[in-house]
Amino acid sequence: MYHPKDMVFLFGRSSAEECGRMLAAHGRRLQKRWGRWSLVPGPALGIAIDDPDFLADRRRALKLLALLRRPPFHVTEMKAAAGSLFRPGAGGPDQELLDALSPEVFAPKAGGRASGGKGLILDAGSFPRDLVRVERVVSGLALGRVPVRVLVRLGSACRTVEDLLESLVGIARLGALSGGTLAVEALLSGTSPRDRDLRELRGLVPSGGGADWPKVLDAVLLAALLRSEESLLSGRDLVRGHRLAAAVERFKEFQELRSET
Amino acid sequence: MRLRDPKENLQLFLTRRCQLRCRYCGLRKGRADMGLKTALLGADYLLRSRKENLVLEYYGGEPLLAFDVMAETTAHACRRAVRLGKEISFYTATNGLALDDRKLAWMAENRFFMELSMDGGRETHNSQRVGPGRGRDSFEAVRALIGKVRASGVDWGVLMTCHPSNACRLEADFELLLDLGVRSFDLNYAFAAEWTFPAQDAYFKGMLAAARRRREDIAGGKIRIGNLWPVAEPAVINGQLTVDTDGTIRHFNEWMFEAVPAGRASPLGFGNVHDKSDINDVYLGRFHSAYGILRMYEGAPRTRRLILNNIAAGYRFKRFFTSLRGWVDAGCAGRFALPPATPEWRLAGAAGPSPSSIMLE
Repeated sequence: MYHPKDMVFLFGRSSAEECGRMLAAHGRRLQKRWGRWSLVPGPALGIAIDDPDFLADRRRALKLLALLRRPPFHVTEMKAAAGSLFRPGAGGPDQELLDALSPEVFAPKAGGRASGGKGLILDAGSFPRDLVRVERVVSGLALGRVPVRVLVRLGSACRTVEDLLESLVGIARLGALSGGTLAVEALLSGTSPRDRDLRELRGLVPSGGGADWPKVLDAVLLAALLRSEESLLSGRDLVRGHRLAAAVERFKEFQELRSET
Repeated sequence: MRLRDPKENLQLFLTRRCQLRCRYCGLRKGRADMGLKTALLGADYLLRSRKENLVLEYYGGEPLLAFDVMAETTAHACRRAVRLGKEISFYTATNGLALDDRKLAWMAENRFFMELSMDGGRETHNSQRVGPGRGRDSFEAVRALIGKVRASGVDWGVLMTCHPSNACRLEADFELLLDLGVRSFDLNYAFAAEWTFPAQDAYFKGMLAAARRRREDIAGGKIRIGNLWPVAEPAVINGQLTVDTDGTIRHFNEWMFEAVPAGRASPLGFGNVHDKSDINDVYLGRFHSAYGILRMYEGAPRTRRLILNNIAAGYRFKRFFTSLRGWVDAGCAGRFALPPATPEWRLAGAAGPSPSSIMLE
């Protein structure tokens, strides 16, 4: 049995006009395959844009998103670097672009069901401070109506226990900010850290999505606290004990991250 | 702010009075009682939880010494629960010394689950549970009650607290309580005592032997061991909330070590039931529980070591009981492996050799 799937597009450096022609050609192929538009199954009208730099060409992105708001196509997945949603030189998110990423872009037209795609996949980057930028981007989106998934890389840029805790706080803040409508995935990439504490604490972080992030933060903070106490009380490594204790002190307040709204 | 997953149970600390001076009890005794107004506000505080099924727990000291307050608070909570469309049930842990037919009948009528503190046979029980005067046989006082409790219709069990010095007698103590007619057990390990690996292993050996002997009754539900169901371990950082006699809302386990004066006040503040505190705003996870209690004892390294030891032991107890449940469900067949050493063991600061890897064939 034939299961229609979304078509994956790699637009690369194509112009807006060339991208439009690609979509039109795809539409003609579907029409030919199914005889007429009304017979084309909803999922076959989904398109995935597998190009993290797609939004970086602002002019092209605005034109294509305007096109995708209208029938027949809808976006099932679109990768984007969080930085590409900031307007260069403006110091803040590009609200026009965020508005263009409207719920209609991702909504199946012709009454079809959503295909279960991941929606807008925002790559948050590797540095804990990048999450602050993501927060600003996410605040400008129609959350709850635009499906958004954030990828956070906990890799080589995460060099210390403080970096790890800062990233986890950022992830938990994103979850709280969105009222649970945002999916956050952690990618534990890169080589295993040399620092024993960082390596073992990172081991408490689940890779992928679906985690209760404040709970993960609670577990990592608890482990860091117990390690600092063990070091300080045994007197075996006071420098390590104080370093971990300082990290715990910095991030100990996170209760509000369990907020529902 | 509306926190996810608000608390569904609350402990009211009715009194600091107690007839006993148990050696393993870290609570400072005194004359402080909770006033009725405070107790009613405590019940209201719980009933504001967004959860539908609630449990109000009465502790002390000896809570039955404040029976009138317990009775009025229970009646008030039942009435309000009906008005709010919520379910509420009640729990108390008692040394039994103030228990009589009237109180038993009342608890049976009011959906109580009552736990008698009973640690085992005479030698074990009396080694820890002693009176302020000399010569009191606290074991005999509780043993004499059991027939009455069984006949009362109240839902009951025993709270069996094991001190490391008694761990080697756990199997015999468990059997003795079974012979007395006990069928529901919640097994505690004493806090503020150092749980060395040999003491932990002795506890596990005793529990395994008891479970093997009684496997059919445990698997069939005739004997209930509460620890075989998911429990919040390490218990010393289980995030339970308690209302103090003056209405202050505290982390339950702040009391477990208070026989040693804390150097600082708790850094955790949850307000007082007399103010506008809302239980739905309280988040008390394991990290904050541990942080609060460790910071209170900043200047008392020996107490902090005990806290760390109790936390580490709690992780191991949890793994043990989780494995035990699977083993019992499988008919106690095959080898039982004790929880393996993990990084947490380093925190135990426990004397003695590392834990055994395999206990029973």
